[in-house]
Amino acid sequence: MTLDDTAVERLVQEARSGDAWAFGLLFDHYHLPVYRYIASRVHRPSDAEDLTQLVFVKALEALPRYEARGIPFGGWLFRLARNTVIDHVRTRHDHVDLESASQQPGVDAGPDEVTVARQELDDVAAALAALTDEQRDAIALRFFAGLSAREAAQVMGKQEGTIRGLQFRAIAALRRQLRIDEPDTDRGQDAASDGRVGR
Amino acid sequence: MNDDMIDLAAGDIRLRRRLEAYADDRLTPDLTATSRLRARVLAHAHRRADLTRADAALSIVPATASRSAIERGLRGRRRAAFTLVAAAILVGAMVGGAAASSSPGGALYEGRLWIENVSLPSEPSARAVAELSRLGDRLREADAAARDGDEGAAAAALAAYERIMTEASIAVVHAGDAVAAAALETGLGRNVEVLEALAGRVPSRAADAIDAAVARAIAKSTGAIDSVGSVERPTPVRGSGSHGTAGGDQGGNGSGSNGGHGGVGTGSSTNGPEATPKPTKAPPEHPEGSGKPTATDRPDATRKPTKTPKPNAEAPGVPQGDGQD
Repeated sequence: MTLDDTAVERLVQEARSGDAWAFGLLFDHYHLPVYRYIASRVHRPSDAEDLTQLVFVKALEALPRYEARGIPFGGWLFRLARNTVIDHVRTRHDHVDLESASQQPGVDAGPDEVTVARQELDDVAAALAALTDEQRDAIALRFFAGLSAREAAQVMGKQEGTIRGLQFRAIAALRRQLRIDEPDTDRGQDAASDGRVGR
Repeated sequence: MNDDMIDLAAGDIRLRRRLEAYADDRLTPDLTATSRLRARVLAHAHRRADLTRADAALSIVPATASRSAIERGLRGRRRAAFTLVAAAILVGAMVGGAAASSSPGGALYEGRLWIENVSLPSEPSARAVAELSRLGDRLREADAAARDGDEGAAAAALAAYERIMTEASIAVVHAGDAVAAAALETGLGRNVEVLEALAGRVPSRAADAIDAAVARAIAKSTGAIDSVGSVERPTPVRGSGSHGTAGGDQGGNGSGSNGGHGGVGTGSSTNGPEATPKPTKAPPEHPEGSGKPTATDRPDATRKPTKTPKPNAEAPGVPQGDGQD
C-alpha cells in the first residue's frame, strides 16, 4: 500500500475525527514496518504481535493530541513504538532469545538447504544480538522499518549524523560477525539505495 | 568518514541480502497474525468511533429528543401513573411539604424516581439519553447532600444512582442497540470522573459513609460499562469509493504483509512480503492511472462520518509520556 505524506496527514485528520476506516488505512500502511521494528527488538513473535497492537491502540488514543509540528505521523508512530519496546524490555527484562528465534519454520527446500538457511538466519540473529542497544535500534529503524536516517534520528531523538555513525559501526560489526570481509562486486550499484532493505 | 562512504558500506549487497532474508523470515507476521492484529486494532477503532459519535449525540440530543420523548410519554399511555403520582404529591404536601419530602431520603423520593422511570421513552437511544439525564440528577443530589454533610441523603441519591444505572445497562444490553450502548458507555465513563471528584470533596464529618457509597457506585459503574461495552457494534457501511471500500474494515481480509487491505482494493497485495515498505514517502513508481489505488483519490463526500468538534487546547504535539523520549 502506498500513501504519500499528504494522504497520510489527511487520513490522520479523519482518524482524529473518529473515522475508523481512515485509521484502518493508516494501520495497513504502517503495521509491517512497525511490526518488524518491534520484532527485531523483542524477538518473540507473540510479544511482537501484542506490542504492535498496543502501539496502534496507543496511537488511536493519543491521536486527538497529535499535531505534526515538524514530526510527521510516521516518526510519531515509531516514537510510540520505540517507547513501548523500551518499557517492555525494562519491565519484562526481555532479552535476546536465540533459541526461540531459531524455532521459525524454514524456507521450502530440502533438509540440507533448510539447515543451512536456518544457520545463516541464526547467525544474523546472533550478530544483531551482539550490537549495542543503540546500534541495534539504528539498524532496526533503518533496515527493518525502512526509515531514512533523518526519520530514524527523529525517532531516536538524535542528530542525523549520529545515526549514520551508529549505522556505520553496526554494519562494520555485522560484517565482522558474519565474516563478510570482502567487498561485493556489485556494491557500487547498491550504494545508491541508501542502505535500505527491500526497496 | 563521510555519508557517501557510510552509505557505500551500507550498500554491501551480501549483508543487505542476509538482513533482508532475516527480516522476511523472522520479522514478518504471517497472514493469520496480521489478520488477527488488524481485527483487534480495527475493533478498537470502531469502538472509539462509536464513542465519538455518542459524544456528539450527547451534546445535541438531550435538549431536543429526550425532552420531547419524555413529554410524549407523559401525555401518552402512562397518564394513569401521572395521576397516581399527583395524588402521592398531594399526600406529601399534606404531611410536610412535597419539596422536602421528594429530596433524597425523603418520603416521596422513591415516588419521584418511579415517575421518572415510567415516563422514560421506549426508543433505546432516547431512553439511554434520558437515563443519563436521570443519573446526572442523582449525582447533583449526591453532591449537594455531601456538601451539606447529609450522609443519609447522599447515600439515598447514590443508591438511586446505582439502581438507575443497573436498569439502564440491562435495558441497553437487552435492546442490543449500538448507539444507545455507546451513549450510555460514554456517559457512565464521565460519571465515574464526577464520582471520583465527588469523593475528593466530601466533608470530613461525613467522609466515611459517603466515601463508601461513592466507591461502591464507581465499582458498579465499571461493571456496567463493561456490560454495556459488550453490546456488539456494527461495522459501518462505507461509501462507494472508486477503489472498492467494501470490506475495508474487515479484519479477516488480510493479505500477507499488507495486512488485509480489503479497503483499498487488491493492488497493494502485489507488494508481497518481500518488500519492506517505506512509511512516509511515496515511491515514484505509482503514477496516477497505473491502476494502483491510493487513499488520495478517495471521495470525501460519500463517506464522511459525523465529526465531533473537540477542543484541542491541551494538544502537546506528541503523545504524553509515550511519544517522547
